[in-house]
Amino acid sequence: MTNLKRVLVANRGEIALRLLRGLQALGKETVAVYSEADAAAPHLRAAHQAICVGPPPPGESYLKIDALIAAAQASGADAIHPGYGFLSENADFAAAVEAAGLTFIGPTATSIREMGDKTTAGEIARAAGIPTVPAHQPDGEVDAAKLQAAAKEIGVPVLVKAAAGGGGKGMRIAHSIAEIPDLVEAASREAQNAFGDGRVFLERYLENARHVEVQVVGDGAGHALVLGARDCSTQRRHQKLIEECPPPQLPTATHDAMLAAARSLVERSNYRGAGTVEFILANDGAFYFLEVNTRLQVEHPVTECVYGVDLLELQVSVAEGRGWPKELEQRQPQGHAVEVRVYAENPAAGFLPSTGTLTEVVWPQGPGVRVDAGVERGNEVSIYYDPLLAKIITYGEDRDRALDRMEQALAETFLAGVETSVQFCRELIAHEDFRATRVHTTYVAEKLENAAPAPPRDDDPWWQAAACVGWNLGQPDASGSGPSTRQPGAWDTLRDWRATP
Amino acid sequence: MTTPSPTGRTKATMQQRDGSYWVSAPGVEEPFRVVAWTPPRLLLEHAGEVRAFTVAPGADGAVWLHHDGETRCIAKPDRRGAAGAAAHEGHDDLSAPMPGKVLEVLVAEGDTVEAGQRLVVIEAMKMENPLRAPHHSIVTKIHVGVGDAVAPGDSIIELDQAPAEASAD
Repeated sequence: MTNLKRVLVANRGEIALRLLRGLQALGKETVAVYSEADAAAPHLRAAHQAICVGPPPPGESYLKIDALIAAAQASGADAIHPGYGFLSENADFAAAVEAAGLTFIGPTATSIREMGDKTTAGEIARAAGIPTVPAHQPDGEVDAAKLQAAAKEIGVPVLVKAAAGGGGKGMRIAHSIAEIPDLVEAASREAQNAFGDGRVFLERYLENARHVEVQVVGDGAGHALVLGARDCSTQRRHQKLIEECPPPQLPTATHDAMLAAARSLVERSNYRGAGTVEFILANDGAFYFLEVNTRLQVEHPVTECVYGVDLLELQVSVAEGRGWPKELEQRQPQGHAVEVRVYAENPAAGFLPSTGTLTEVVWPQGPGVRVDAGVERGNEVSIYYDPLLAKIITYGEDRDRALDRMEQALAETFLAGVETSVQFCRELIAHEDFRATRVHTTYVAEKLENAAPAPPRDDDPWWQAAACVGWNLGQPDASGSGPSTRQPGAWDTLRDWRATP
Repeated sequence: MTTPSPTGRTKATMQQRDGSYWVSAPGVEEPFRVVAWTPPRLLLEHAGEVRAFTVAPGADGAVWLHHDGETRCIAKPDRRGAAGAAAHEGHDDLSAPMPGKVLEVLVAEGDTVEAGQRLVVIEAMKMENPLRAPHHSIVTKIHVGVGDAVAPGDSIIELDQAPAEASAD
């Protein structure tokens, strides 16, 4: 058993803030790292110490293993928490951290390696008796002709997926055998760029399927703590947008079978730390193993609300060799939680990232509302990093209460300067399809494809008048009341007011 | 990558009168009164009703607004020629886009002007800024004289679009 004193968080944005705050609440000293693009980021102020690890591109800062380990050593940290994304599922990083004599708050490098490769993970799952989606499974392949032949056996529609992938990168849906070669080439190229590994494999594509995942914690000695399931079916571009705990309208038998499957996987693999076992739930009620995420998930707060736990605390406790309190194993879910991801993206433009300066940031408040935000007014949303700005989580005694609170919370939210997913999610949560749990993983894409163009909304006189004030007055009067002199400010520099030629 | 795409363009104009700011918006006769402006908070009053907005600047002069659970981005009106925009069909009421001093008045009431023609020059922050005619028009009213101080939204000059010849737009 060790007692960690000082923890470096090797991440940025909302997860860095959530971890730094949580670690300090556990009595740990904290160290933040940042790139040159993040010098104004709020996570720096949340830590006892902040260290710049390099220039804006992630490859030169947040992904730079030696710089991060050097920062940990220079600051006297005895452990590193990787967060999610970046190096969180990089076995070499976990190994390098341990080799430097530091504690890696996460699974062993071996676990990350095994679970990170979908082909290997699928074999482990099948060995544990968990079904996987019918697929062409060898180690991944780059030969389009071989994959085309395999697709004929599996049948279409079929998914072309990166063997080393995640987050929808290197993924394509083929609706006919003929288009396989083109899609394989595209997916392979994308996988090569994203993961440095161009191998892809094929998998039967299940239509109108839901994404359900199980939160697990392992102690590294064959014991598992299973903390329920989450539904993450609302996705765009194969990436999650809204998550719920517990999954709505999931038959108890299916729910329990998923939890048992996840438990078996953790126990058999001697998994250590927090992880997520992902399943795809077909529209006939069958479920299949998808993959294991060997880290804290973005959507972990919904589990924390419903199970009354702090998953970071459990991660730290396992890393210190103390396991978890026995009574947690009997913990029953209470109420319902939902999370909406606030992305700097434009839903009307196919969820393309939107960049700019955040000139105003207003978050919701009130009972049952949790906001995990990574930005504040004045921050620049750049092209360098993931467009996830924040997560809004609401909680209530049942699903309707949680969703009603989410509608209200999203109505209160205001981000100026970039397009976001907020309004889209608010409309979706109010929609009868969402309330009736008719949302599946391709629902958003299909809805957008069939959506009528938005009617012009520029003729409401109230909005016209308000815009006119903002555009004409900008800054307040110096006196604070009535028209008089005004001081130049941010507004003026943004205006098109030029010297005459 | 996309940059924020404004959803609408403002056609309203603002004036200062009786110690208050007033906004005329298309489609309504009675103007809106600015009850309070403490950025980013704005209170507007119209026909006895008060509504609260949150207002923030965007890129290229656009304005981001939040009201009643909704967020909109409204683009700055095209000011190349038109400071305000037509209050009604065929009529232009050009207002001062920022505080300054009237340097020159280049036309007189009753004059016929061409689209793009310089009408009034305002000096602000040591820069000369001409107000130009948005259309082929007749000058119906000039509200300022040389040396006058003007505040943003003050009406400067009013024009009625002239018939016949096709205008520049």
